[in-house]
Amino acid sequence: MLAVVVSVAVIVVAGAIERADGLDTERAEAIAELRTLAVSARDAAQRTDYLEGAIGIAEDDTADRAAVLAVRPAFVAEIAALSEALGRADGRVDTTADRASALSAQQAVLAELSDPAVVTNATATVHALTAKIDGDVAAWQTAQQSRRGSVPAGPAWASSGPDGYARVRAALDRVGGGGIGLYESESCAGGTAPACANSDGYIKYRADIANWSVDRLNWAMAHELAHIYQFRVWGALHSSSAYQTMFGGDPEFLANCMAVVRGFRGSVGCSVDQQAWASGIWVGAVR
Amino acid sequence: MRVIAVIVGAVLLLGGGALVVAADQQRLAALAAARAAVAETRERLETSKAVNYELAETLTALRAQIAEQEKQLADTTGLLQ
Repeated sequence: MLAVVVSVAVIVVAGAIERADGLDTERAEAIAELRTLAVSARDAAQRTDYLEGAIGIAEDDTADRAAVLAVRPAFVAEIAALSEALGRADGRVDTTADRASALSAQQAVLAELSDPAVVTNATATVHALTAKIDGDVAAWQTAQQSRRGSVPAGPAWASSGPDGYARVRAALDRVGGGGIGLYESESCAGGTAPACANSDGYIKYRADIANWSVDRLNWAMAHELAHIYQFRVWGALHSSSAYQTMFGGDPEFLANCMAVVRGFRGSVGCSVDQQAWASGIWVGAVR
Repeated sequence: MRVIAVIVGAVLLLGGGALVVAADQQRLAALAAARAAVAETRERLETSKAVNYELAETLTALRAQIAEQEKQLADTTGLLQ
């Protein structure tokens, strides 16, 4: 009887232990899976946070760019107007600085991605530049009309045409002769000289020089403008011994040296002393 | 004397059995709790994945839109050369 009881007890105890062990194993497996899942869930939650943040930034970027794009057409329209103004000014007024300013504004617009105010400011700048160029051209045209009414009579150009005249005029303006009358004429040294200055204070040019290169034209106008300044001190100049000594009394040589002083170097070389003396004529000083 | 021994033995047997049953119940409860936590975490993970998928699609669309806008902003048509 005792042996039976003991045997039953051993079997029951062994069964209980095995069941307990099985339950513990299952629980350990469940906890291990839970840990893995918890790590994955935490990663997913962090990715959710990242995505929400990135979407917020992207939405802001999209809105910024849309705002900049909204004001871009107005800027492009102003640039088109400026281009037309530059075309009207070509050969009449120097627009180098205006064009550089417009390019600078345009560069700022191209680089801008978020602030529409930069574009609207650039649009206003370009608009102002267009107005300035148109104003300069109008002033130039007015000056041309007033000059045409003075000596000599008749139109300022003949065979060189308005465009050719504009090139020569622009060169004369560029070298500082903005207020000096300019006329096409075949009468300079009987037509053999390409240009000449008149002691009445204006300059004549032969039609073919309108096709000269800009540099050569600049030099020619600087040379003729130098004669105009010589005429203003003509008496003192010819009674100056230094003029005779240094330039041999040659107004052409002096005009070349005066052009060099202004930065327009012709084919004749001038010493430093000659340039220093010639520079005085530009300001009315005969030393 | 023998009767007493039998009674004590029976009491001990019943007590031991009760302890074993109680321990078994605790193990079952702990296992059920762990499985419930696994199910809850798995559901949470699946929900996060679904949300992330939608967010990623939204972000991709926004980035494509930004790329298109920047292409338009870099367009120099009509500008000074």
